[in-house]
Amino acid sequence: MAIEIKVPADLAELAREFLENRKTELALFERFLREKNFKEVARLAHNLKGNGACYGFPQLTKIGDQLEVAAKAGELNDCANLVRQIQDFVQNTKIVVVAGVAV
Amino acid sequence: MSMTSGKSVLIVDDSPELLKFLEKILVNVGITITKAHTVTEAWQAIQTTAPHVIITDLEMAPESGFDFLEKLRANPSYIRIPVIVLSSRGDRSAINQAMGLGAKEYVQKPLDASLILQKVKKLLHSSQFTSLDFKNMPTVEAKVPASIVAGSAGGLQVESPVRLARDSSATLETASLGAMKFDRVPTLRSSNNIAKMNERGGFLNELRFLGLTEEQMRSLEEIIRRWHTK
Repeated sequence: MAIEIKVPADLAELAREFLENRKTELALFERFLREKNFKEVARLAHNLKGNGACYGFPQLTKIGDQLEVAAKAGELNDCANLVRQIQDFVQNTKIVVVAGVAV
Repeated sequence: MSMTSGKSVLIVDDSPELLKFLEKILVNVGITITKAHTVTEAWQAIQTTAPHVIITDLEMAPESGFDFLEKLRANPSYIRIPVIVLSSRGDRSAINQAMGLGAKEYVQKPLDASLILQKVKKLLHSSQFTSLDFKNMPTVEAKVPASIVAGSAGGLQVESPVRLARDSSATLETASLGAMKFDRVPTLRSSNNIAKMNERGGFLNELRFLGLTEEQMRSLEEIIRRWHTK
């Protein structure tokens, strides 16, 4: 099911780039999980938590928060589930540009 | 012209995406941005131009935002630059530590663009700090009183009412060095990193001798040896 995210015009390009970067990052998450490198998973998740909402994706901030907690606890299955949620989100999200500025 | 136009903000964060976002919203209101990914980069940046406001993350490596706040507080040139801490840490101990180290505002991530912009504008409005362009600052020559606190054949630690900039030249006129029979006053170069003002209002400046001959070096070692055994 497609998710529509409304983004002000002045942020549209940055938001698209941010979403594209998440697609690239998925491969990193998968690699670090295969290597059980929870420290790196937590680091990436921490950044996702900090940046998602400001680019217009509070859902990614929420997943990033949960993923950071799971990675710090070394919960491999939880981490894998949350990475799948990121994948679903980026694959199904469509950015809708609306008039106006971010602030 | 708007109140923010022409003002400068240094942003320190290890996340390139956060730097990019903040740059976008601050440049939109006419603010000039300098970005740093580490405390080392930030420190280098402010040696060139001290900004009107600093925004810094806390959790960075190898040096943290707390380390950066400490360095700023220890340096009289930068202590008055208002700092906003922008961190995902929301615990009381982090907030207390940051504010205790001199941060003016504490904003928790995830970043709220309008909130950070409001804080920046508030500090730019209330700040008395004038941005300093150290790179293009005029140099001055001055004769000031100084006292030798410690010495070795490599250099001297000198207390004076002025803080010497790193790599500035100095000459020392002192009776105790007259015994060295220099044909000229020895030249010294400041190796200061952070010279802190002491309780007497003076600065301890680290000075290195330049171009001493072996004979002068031996003479100096003898003077310092006698000086230490007094």
